[in-house]
Amino acid sequence: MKLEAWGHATALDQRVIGRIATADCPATRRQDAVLLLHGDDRVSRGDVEGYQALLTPLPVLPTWARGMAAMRAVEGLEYLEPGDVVLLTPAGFVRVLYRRRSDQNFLLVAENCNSYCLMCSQPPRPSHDIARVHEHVRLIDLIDPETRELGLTGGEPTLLRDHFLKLIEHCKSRLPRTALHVLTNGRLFFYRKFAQRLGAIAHPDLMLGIPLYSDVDCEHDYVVQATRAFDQTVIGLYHLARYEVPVEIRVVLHRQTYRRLPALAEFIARNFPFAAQVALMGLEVTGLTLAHPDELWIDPAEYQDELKAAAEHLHAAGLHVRLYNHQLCVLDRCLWRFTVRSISDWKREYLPCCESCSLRHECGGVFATSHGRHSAHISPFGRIDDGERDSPRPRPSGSSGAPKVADGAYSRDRTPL
Amino acid sequence: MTIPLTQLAAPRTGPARFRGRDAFRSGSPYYLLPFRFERFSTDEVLLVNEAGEHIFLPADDFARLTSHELRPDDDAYLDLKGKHFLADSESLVPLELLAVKARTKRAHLQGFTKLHIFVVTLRCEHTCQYCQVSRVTQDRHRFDMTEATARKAVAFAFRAPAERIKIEFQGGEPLLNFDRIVQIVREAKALAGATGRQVDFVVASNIALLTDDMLDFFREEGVSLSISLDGPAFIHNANRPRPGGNSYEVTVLNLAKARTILGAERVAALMTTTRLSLDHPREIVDEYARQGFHAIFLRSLSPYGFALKTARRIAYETDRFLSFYAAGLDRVIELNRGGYHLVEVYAQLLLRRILTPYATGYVDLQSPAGAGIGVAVYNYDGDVYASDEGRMLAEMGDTRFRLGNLHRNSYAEVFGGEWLRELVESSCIESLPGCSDCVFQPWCGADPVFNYATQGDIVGHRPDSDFHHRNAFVFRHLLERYRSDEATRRVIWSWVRGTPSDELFPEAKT
Amino acid sequence: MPQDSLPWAQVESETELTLTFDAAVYSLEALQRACYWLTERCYVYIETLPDEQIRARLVLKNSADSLRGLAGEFGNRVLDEKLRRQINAETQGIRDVIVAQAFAEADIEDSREADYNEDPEDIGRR
Repeated sequence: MKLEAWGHATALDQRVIGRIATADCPATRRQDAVLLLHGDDRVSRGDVEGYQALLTPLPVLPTWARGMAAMRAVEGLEYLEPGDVVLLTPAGFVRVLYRRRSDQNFLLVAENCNSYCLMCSQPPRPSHDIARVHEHVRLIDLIDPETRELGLTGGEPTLLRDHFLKLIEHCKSRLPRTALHVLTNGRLFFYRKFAQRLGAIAHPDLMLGIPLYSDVDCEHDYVVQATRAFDQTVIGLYHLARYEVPVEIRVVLHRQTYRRLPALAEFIARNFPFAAQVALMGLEVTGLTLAHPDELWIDPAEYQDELKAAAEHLHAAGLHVRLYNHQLCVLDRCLWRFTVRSISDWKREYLPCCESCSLRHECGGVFATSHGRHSAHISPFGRIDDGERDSPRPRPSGSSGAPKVADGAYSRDRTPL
Repeated sequence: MTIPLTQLAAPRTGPARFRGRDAFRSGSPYYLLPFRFERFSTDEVLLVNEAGEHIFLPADDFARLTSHELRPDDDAYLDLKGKHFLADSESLVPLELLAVKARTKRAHLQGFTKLHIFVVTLRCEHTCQYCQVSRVTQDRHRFDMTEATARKAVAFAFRAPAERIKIEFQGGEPLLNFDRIVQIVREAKALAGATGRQVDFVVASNIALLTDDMLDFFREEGVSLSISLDGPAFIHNANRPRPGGNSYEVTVLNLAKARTILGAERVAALMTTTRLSLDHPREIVDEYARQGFHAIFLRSLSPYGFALKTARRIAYETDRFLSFYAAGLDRVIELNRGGYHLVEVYAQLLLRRILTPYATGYVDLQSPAGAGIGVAVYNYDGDVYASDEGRMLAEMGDTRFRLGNLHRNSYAEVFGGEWLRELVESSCIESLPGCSDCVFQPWCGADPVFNYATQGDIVGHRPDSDFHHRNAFVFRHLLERYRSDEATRRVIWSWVRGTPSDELFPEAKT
Repeated sequence: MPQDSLPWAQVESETELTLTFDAAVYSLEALQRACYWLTERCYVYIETLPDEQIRARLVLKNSADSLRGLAGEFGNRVLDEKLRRQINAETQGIRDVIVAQAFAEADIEDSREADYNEDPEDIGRR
């Protein structure tokens, strides 16, 4: 599934963000809408007044559409449905910003970053992030308020500083029933007041996903390629806890991080017992990883001992553990209960041998984006008898598993004083 | 498969330029963070830091650590750094983390006195051989708490700033003054409601005199029961004579009734250990399992039956208790591994201190001691004591631990007086001889009343102290068990979490 | 440990032993603390001698106890007590900071109080 495509723009002199609609969209909602025109639609000019733009796979616009703001010859996006939101640029670029059907919508609100992780899947680019903030505000206005979950990512979203706070506030006001999951390195929360202001917004269902790659500063700083990042992140975590902002600690597992994983698990249990959950994540071989894949990629079958020790320790100590991006056949069976089908639907795929696997529908598959790198130990399960089968439990498909604050995962009496 | 860190290749530079590990190492020599140590065996040293985190080091690594010869790429170096035993940057972050953790561990001190013991009567119809206080008598006037005394005691209890307090009814046999219990529960709830606080209730009783009306009242008001069960009938009845000699049988009968009406989670049992008990650890543990209890407290012998102020430690008694404890604990672990969830309460407390960052308030093992500041005892006659054992000493003629009287002294005089202050200062183990350098210090505590009763002064002399020997043994023993095998480790975590092992580790094969 | 700085042991009787320590190697304080723990099994008398020597006289409380074992244990304890003094000396200042911080209200460092827009620590820059 593609989220981006190129086409030909006509009469489009500025970037347009609009909600996908069909020709029966009421006139009052058309100024926010982009009409998706399929080849066989029977419409006329009268049906299409008032839309921000047309979007169509047709190579040539119908005559009645001439002169209208439009994007034509766009292939691969026919799946779009009313309620989805797209970006159209004068250069002919189309990006799908939001899909109503998906459980994993992310807003990319920043392309700059103050870290440079060895395995960054979204490499930073110099960009005028602040100039684009109004577009994210517009997008939030267009998102369906019944959306259950929304993510904020980058680059590093907190570099937007007060604009970041504004976006959180805007989500609270426009999407009060939507859980908000922000991916951030947390370093700017070293400044107490930044954490205080975020806490003061009191978003009803916010979680920050913050990576920590080691129990020691030198190792963490090496992985994120930034001096003092560890110290800043650790203090940031404490400030966030102080102001009761729920936090998920994330660890990407690769050749440079797996060795001290059990030590990191103990470190998290003793120093951050207030963490709402701990996410242990398989590597996506994309982005900066491609510059040095052999230094980072390791077959997950090779780190099962460390992973088991870490996950079991965290779980025993009372933390919620989630395992993302791992295939069931590669994992030790006792880890299955922690797995989540986390790979986004649009980048998830299965190998040919998975066709016959009896657990395929419960397994998250592999990254389509990982350039063919996956475990050498992927193999299908035959029929599993009921007696053997007390796990894995079926999980809601595509869910990132972020728990709501109310489920007790984040317990007040565990905050540091 | 692990690869030593030094052999992992530095990433190649290219359009993406990465710096190697060296660029992120401190380069400064390391300095020690505060810790205490003890040689655990000939080859290993146990280290414990200010936050109560521990690490075992081979003896030669320990020697290199203290002579500053460890190198930044030694595994031991990184382990020690991650656990806050050494640091090498100018950053204050390790100190800050230690401070937060040290503070978290002491959170139980907030709120002042949380456990309030009300001795509603001294009368009792049992004549347990180890009891120092009860009187077998019909004379209600002499040995029952009056309404006025109870009212004053409730008012005192709520003077403590704690958001949540616990009221425990003791005696004699508290059920013999049931009307007083009713009054106290009602007045305490009213006062709690008026001041926006919470109160829990527990009645420590032999339950021989339990009636349906009493149980109905307890159920309505959410009162818990703590009953006495010393073991199987031959031990229990020998320890706890009563008219008819049937304490065990009556207990079991009324236990079933209490569980039915109150719910099993509101009925717990406590044992008292006698010399007879010491020969039968397995039978006692098995009895608790047979009666369906999921917690057992293998309590040590009480010293209060011996002559007061005896300076000589009765060594063989403590050693016999420690064998009893080890055997009892083994049996408890065995039952857990067989699928029956049973927690040994003392081990659970100590293991929570060792394995988690959380505070655990336990008045008999904390620093400063809980006497007066964690627990207060309101006797039937209005006298206020710093601990239940302090009250027992008074019944035997020594009122050293009386803090005052409800009818004659103000709250400030009782809880703000010089004597309580001295008690607190003398029970801060950070500065007591023998405790100040002890490796177990962050996990341990003081019992000045015990010291006074067995050695003649509240500070006590550690080398001869049963309290010290018992706790040092149990800490060592628990650490050994934790390190012994995975199955035992899982049992231990099931205790720490208070969750049955098969729920916590459904995939595990024991 | 160089041979000539081992304590000089002299057996006085079946229940009595004298150990002579070089004060330059074994501090009086370490000796005293080691002795504290021995008082369970023996009586201890300590005296300082000229020439920077310290003598400890140990008298077993129980004649069935082992004098040799006691001396060995004593020697080990003294060395460990010496190490404890060294560790305490090295870490006392830090312990003071930790204890003060554990009971304080304010943050340990002022840099945290700065304006995140001004970012004096340059956190926002790569």
